[in-house]
Order: sequence, then structure tokens, then C-alpha cells
Amino acid sequence: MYEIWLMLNIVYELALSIWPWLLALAVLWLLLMGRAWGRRGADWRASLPGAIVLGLLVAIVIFAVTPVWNKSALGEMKYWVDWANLLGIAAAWGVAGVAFGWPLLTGLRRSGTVG
Amino acid sequence: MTHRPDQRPSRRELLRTLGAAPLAVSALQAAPAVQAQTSASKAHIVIAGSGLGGIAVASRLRKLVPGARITIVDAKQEHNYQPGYTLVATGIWPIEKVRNRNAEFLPDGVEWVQEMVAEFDPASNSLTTTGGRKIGYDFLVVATGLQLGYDQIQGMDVAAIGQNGLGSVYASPEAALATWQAMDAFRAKGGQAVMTLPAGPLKCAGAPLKMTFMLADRLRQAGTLDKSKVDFFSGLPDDTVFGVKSVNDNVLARWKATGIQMHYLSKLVAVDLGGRKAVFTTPEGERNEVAYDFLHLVPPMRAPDAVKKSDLAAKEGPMAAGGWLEVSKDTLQHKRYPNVFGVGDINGTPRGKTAATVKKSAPLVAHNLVRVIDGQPADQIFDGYTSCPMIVREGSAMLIEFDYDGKLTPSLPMIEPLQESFMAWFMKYRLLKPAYIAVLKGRV
Repeated sequence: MYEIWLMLNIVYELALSIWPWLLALAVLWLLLMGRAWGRRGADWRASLPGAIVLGLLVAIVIFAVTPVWNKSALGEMKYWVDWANLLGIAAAWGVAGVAFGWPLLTGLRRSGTVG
Repeated sequence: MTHRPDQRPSRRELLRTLGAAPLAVSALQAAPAVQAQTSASKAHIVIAGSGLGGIAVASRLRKLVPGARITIVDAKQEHNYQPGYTLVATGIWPIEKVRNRNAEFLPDGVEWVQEMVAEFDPASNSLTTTGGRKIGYDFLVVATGLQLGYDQIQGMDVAAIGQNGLGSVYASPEAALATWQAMDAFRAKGGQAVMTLPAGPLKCAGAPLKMTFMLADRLRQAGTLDKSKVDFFSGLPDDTVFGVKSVNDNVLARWKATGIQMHYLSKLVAVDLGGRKAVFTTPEGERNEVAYDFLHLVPPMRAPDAVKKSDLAAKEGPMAAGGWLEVSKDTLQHKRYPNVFGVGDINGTPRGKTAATVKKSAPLVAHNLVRVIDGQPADQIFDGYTSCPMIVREGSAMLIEFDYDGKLTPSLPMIEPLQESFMAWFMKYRLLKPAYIAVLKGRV
């Protein structure tokens, strides 16, 4: 339990150190959502596969570059814990990719068009 | 080597934190900040020292004893993230990562006397500052940290760190950066490296080992490891460089494979900085002069004079020579002055002069102090927890946690402490400073 509390605090402190950027991203996300919701005949379901593909691409890129971004290398992944955490980090980014990609693609899609 | 400026977050950091931030914020608001006894006392609590221990205890006491008058005494304006010194000294972090201002972290409502403590007089419940100001207290928390004994090594000059192949990670952020500059110059050509480790209690006893691992790794990266000789001079008995046997044996096995030459019972007593020579003595008094191209010098450590020369210092036993604070290793309460507690490096306890020890012990000190303020006995017992993310090379580390008895105590039992991993490195490189700040704020 303490470890969960500690991890939440770490995430909180990380977020606090970059809060203007987070605020800007939140505003951007709200704008994307507002635009998509406001579009008449917005087809959320049709744009979901594209958003998932985008999220997968983001996750794959993050999986590949996270060790290097942290002055390490994929070759240092010698323990199952490393792989589990790397997958978790990539998945989190992938979800973020979907969260932004879905309203973006919905907003861009012209009503009634397919694909 | 180039560094990304630390203050500007990468896009990766930005997006990673985005998803978790709302959850974290709501959880932080919902969870109780401190699960400890509170008091309505209006006592005057003085905290000597504004390092991690002093500020962490102040932050907690501010919440636990809201009516108390709390005074911190320390002239230091800059707050240094000392666990990051090894990263600066090995070219991994920029110096800015270990520099903050104390004013950023002092909790509201705490008085800050910006002078050093010159003298403690526990018999009269008072201390005197370097400016001659006498401050009385009802309760005292000693969090002064320790004193680096560079003056005990003949010929040593802290200002010379970074020049003539001299490195020493401990002295300051500037010294850590200068150490990296000396190491960087050395690795380009290779040569004779001399690494030292004194006997006696040390702040972050793993740091001399990390510096050795990283020196070997930097030489390997530069292609000069084969042209170099690395000698490690330990002041400890044979086959000993670390107090936890399983870790010690693991480190020595790794060094043997790397070709690092070991020397034991070797006490560094003098250096010739211009001539690049270090002088060691054995317990039999034999002097041994060693030439070097790069020297990593670790000074012996002791309590600051204000503690060492006061009645707060240990009078007998293994902690007396260094003048360490005479506290119970269980409750961290002073053995002879029950209204005095200690936190951090100053404590005369068997192990644990690390930030991890403060993380675990600051809540306990605050809790036990509140009990004593309310006339009850201290009831929480410290197990001596400490932690050492042992960097074995750039990109990989072992996350070692242990207690007073040297028993490995991993926070996550499924993780093998002696397994080198990217995750342990990632924690050291990315996550431990935010954790440190949360400790300063009295939240973890």
C-alpha cells in the first residue's frame, strides 16, 4: 500500500514540475473533444480503429525509444521486471495516443464519409 | 557529452504524466497526509539543520502539532539533492538537477533562523548560533548532517578537485561536476586510477562503489579500459567494501571480472596533488606511496563540531570517536536527553546515512516526538531501513534495500535485489528525485 502511495506522489511531483505543459495539453484535448462533439453526425465508432492504430504506433515507438531516452538501451532489458515495466510505459502512452487520436480523427472525418 | 536541460520536460515526460496526473491529484487529496498522533501543544520545537531530514520533520510537525512554534536553524540557502551527486560526477546528470533553494521547501509557518549552530547546550535546553544568538527550546531535533574530514588527509585541498586528475564526489555539486571533468579527461587516455574507501561511518556508503563501477564503464566506452589499471584501496578488513555481505560479495565478484585490483586495510593519509601521488598506511604503520593519473578520494566523516563538542555526542562505544549523536537506534530519541531526537546522517546508528533512511525515519521521528510532547513514551521502532541503487554501469543498476542487521528487505518481494536491471536504473535516473521532494513535503 505504501508503495502505491509513494508512486502516486512521484507521479504527482513529476506532473507538478511540468504543469503548464500538462495544462496546455488538457486544453488541446478539450478543444479536440469539443470540436468532435460539436460536429453534426460525428461518427465516433468509425474513427475508433484509426485511433487504435495510432495508439499502437505510439506504443511501439515508445517501447523502442524509452531505454535510450533514459541513457540505457534495449540490450539492458535482462529481467522480466524490465520488460513488464517497459510494456506498461508503452501501453500508457498508447492509451494517451488513443485519447488524443480518437477525437482528432472524429473531428477531421467529414460526416457521411467512410474510411 | 551533452545534456538535455533538465528544466524543460521532454514530450515523453509530458505525455506520460498526463494520463496519471488527475488520478494522482485526486488520490493525494483524498488520502490522509500523515497517519500519526496529533497534539494541541504550543511547545517550541527547534530543528537544527535544513537538509532532507530537518525539512521533512518540520513539514510533518507542522501538520501534527499545528499550535507549536517551529524554528529551523541553518544558514544554508541552497538545497542539494545529494543522492544525485554520483550521477553528476559520472557525466549522467547536469549539475542543475541537484540544486534547489531551501526557501522552496520550508513549510509555511516555520521560522527560519539563517545562521549555523555554533554550540548546543542540552542541559539548559538551548543552542547558540554563529551570530551569537541564544535560542531556547522545549524540544530539539538534531538534523545537522555530517562533516567531511578532508582536513584529515595531509595535502588535500577541496578547491583542487577537478585538477590534476583529482576527483571527490562528496564535497558539493561543483566538486561532483569537477570530478566528472577529471574522469572525462582521464578516460580519454586511460592510465592508473586509484579509488579509495575509508573505514568508519560514511554518507551513502555505496557512492565510492558506484564511482568505481562507472569509472570502469566510462573507460570501457572510451576503449581505454584495457590500457588502464584500476586499484581500489579499502580501509576495511580483507574482502570488505560494503557492510552487507551478499552485496559485498556480488560487487567484488563483478570487480574481479573487470580486473579491478583490491587492497585492504589501507588508510589514505596524504596526497601530493601536484605530483599525483597518494599515501596509504597499514594498521602496522607501513607507508605505501601510489602514483595515479586519476584519484577518487573519499574523506573520513564525522559529526559537525557543534555536535561533537557538545554533551549530545556519544561518550563511549563505536560512535564516540566520530562524535555522532547518541540516540537510541530504535526510537531515534537521545539516550540522555529525552526531549532531543535525531534524524539523518548525524545519528550514531549502525547503518543508513542515506536519503532512503530519512524517508523511512522522518515520519517515525515526528510521531515519536509528538508522543513525548504529550508526555507519552516513544513507541515506534525503526528497523534501520536504507536503500542503495547500486549503479553497475550506465543504464543498469541493482536496487538494494536492507536494515540494521544487513538483511535484504526488498520493498517488492518478487524483485531480486542483486539482479541488475533497467528498472532500478530508471528509478535512480528518473523517479527518486520526485520521491525525495515528496519526503521533503512530509507526504511519504
